[in-house]
Amino acid sequence: MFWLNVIKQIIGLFSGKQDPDEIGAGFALGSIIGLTPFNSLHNYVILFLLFLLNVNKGAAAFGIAIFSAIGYFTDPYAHQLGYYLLVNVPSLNHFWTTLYNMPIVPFTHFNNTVVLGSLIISLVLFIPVWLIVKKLTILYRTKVHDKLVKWKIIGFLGHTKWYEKYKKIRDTIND
Amino acid sequence: MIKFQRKSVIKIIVALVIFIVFGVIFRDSIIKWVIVSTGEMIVGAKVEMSSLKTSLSESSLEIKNLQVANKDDVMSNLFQVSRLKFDMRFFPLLEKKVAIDEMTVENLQWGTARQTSGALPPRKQKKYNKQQENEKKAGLTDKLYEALKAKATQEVSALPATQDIQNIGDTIKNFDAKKLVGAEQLQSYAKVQELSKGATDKYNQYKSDITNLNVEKQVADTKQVISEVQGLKVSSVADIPKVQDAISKLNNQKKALEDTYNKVTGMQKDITTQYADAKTLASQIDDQVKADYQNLLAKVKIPGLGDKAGIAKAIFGPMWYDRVTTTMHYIQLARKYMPAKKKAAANVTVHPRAKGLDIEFHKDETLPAFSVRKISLSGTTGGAGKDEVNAITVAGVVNNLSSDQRVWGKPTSFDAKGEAVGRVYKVDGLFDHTSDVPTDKIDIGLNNFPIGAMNLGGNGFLPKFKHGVYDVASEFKLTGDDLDCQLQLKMHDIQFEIEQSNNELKQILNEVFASIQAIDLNARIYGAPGDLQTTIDSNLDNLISDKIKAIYGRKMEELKAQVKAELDARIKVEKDKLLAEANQKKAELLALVNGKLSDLQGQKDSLTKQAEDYTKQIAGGQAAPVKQAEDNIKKNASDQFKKLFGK
Repeated sequence: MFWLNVIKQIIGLFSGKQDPDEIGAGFALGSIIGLTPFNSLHNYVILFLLFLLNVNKGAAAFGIAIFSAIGYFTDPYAHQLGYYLLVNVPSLNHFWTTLYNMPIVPFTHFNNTVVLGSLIISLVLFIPVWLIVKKLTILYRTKVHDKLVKWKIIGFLGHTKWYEKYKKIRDTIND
Repeated sequence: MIKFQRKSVIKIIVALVIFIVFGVIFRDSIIKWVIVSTGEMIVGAKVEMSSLKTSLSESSLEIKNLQVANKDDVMSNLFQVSRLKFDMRFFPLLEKKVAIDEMTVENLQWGTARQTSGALPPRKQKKYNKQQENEKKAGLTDKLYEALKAKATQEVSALPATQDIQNIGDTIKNFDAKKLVGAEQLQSYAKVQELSKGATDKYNQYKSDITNLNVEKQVADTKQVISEVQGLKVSSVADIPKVQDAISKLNNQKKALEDTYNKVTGMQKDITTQYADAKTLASQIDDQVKADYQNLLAKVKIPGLGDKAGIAKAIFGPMWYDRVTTTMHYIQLARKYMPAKKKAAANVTVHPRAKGLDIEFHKDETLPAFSVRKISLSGTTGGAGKDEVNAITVAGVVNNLSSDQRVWGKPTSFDAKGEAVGRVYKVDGLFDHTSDVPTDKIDIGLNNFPIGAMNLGGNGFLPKFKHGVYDVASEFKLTGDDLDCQLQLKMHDIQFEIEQSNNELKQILNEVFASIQAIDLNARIYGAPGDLQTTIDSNLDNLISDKIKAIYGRKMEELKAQVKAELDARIKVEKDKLLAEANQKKAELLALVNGKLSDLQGQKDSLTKQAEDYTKQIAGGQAAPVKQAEDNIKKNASDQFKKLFGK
């Protein structure tokens, strides 16, 4: 049911019924999970947020997929940033030490250079990603969608079985 | 607009509860799976246990019948434990720290036989191999481990003593005196030929000389002279000159005969004293035989025993390297799982990971990620497939086992001891990774252990021990990457199981080992991975090399005797033939010479007799007229006196 819901929401991204704000927020949350190594406690927190908030799960899945690919390239920079913050900033040392010796917190793996660096990067990018995706969604719906439908390739795809299925689900959502 | 979804809260709570309940119910299976999977990736062989139970109220974990297979011998266990119990602290778990106050290990056994193979299934084995490949690139300890293995292989495969003894054995085995003597150009044989020719030549020379003297002619001439002067009589003084002339002729002939006689006498003397003297000939041949014998001995020289230390190295080297390599394997594991972490800042420890670096931030008196304050262990040196009769019960403790000794503040130490019927087993050690340069030390001492338990096989040198005991004091130390391992081994009351053999080399070695009752060994291996030095010194070196030399000396004498006998046999025929021929020729010459001398002597005597006869006649012929004249003078004088004095 969960995955069916996610698929429906992914299709719904293009339907015009979904709130661009929810799409942007879902995508931004997904970007955090995608950009940071998965097996960290903060990612489970993000997952909970995805369920607790009415953000678009499909957009989150998209965000995870896209930012996982981006993370592959940004990891070396994330490592450098994380190392700088964890080791080369003495003023933060006390803070890290306190965190490290607190219950539960170590499970976040915040003390790993890549985890911390990529988490910082994803948090910094969170709002911009949210806003950019929201804007892009609106832009797509108002300007691109109608032109795209007129493309021959889209017309061709419109006659395939897969499109029929897609259309069926989309109409269900719209209804 | 982003809103909070209340319905989802309930769903998540339900999911969490289900997750927790599932975790609690199946926690034992989950933990078991984690331990087995992790363990198998560490040891590279099967890790099995009959049960695992956790107690949340006591925060303890109990494992029963844990078996960890040996990847190098999948039909044996690296170790097995009947019961393993941890008492953990709960709150450190929330800080991602495993803190065990006390751990109990009951009935620990090692090297025990397995009933089923301990090899990993192919999929897991592949995963393990991949992991090992990645880890191989790592530390210097691995390099040391590899260097040790390489050193052992290199040294044991190039043992000079093995080759020396084999060479000696081969020389003795393949020795063929007939072949050796037959192949040699014997100088003594040539000498016999040379002497034979010399004797013949001289024989011919003597014969020629005798012929040239022409004794027959001289005899005939003498006879002629005698016949010519025969029949002369001194009747009057007038006959005297004629007879005197005959005497002169006879004397001249006699003189000529005497010259020849003297020459023949000289020849006789030469032949008697100098020609083909058996003693001289034999002596000359024997001298040459001696020279030949010396030449042949140079060719049957038995190869000597080179590096005497090679013998102890051959026998004890594999065992020693095996012990060092095994111990280094455990030290390597200790360093891998309890690394000496370098301080990046006062309270920060950095250690690399595949993805990023984990930076640890330590407070004073904090706990490392994993720690065991005390492990109480009991076990036995026996077990399935081992010497149960002589097994010793061992008990000991491991203190301060931790993943980060710098944080924990104390090095890991261990101490175990076992005693039974005069036998003592003692092992203690220290893994000190509290500073930048880690120091690992393991001391093992064994007293009065039956020698049968000691694995010295595989080198083909030493026969099985029938009886004997040994004492061992060994120290294995690794400071940084510098290795220093020492072993003192004393074996006494030794008796070997000597197997009878037709193999000459085996027989020799059997004789050597039968005489050995005690063996002392001092071995050391030290240095950095790229420059490992080894010394292995044992009284066995001297015992074996002296004994082998003595035995081979005896064998050498036997071989020499064989050579001498063969040489003598070959030369004797020729020598006897030469001496017989020479004697015959000598006898011939002497007979000839003696005949000539006899003839000459006969003629000489005839001449002398004739000459004397004539001399007497002359003397008789001259005396008669003188006497008559004297008588006449005397008579005339008497007559004159009578007339004068008138009487």
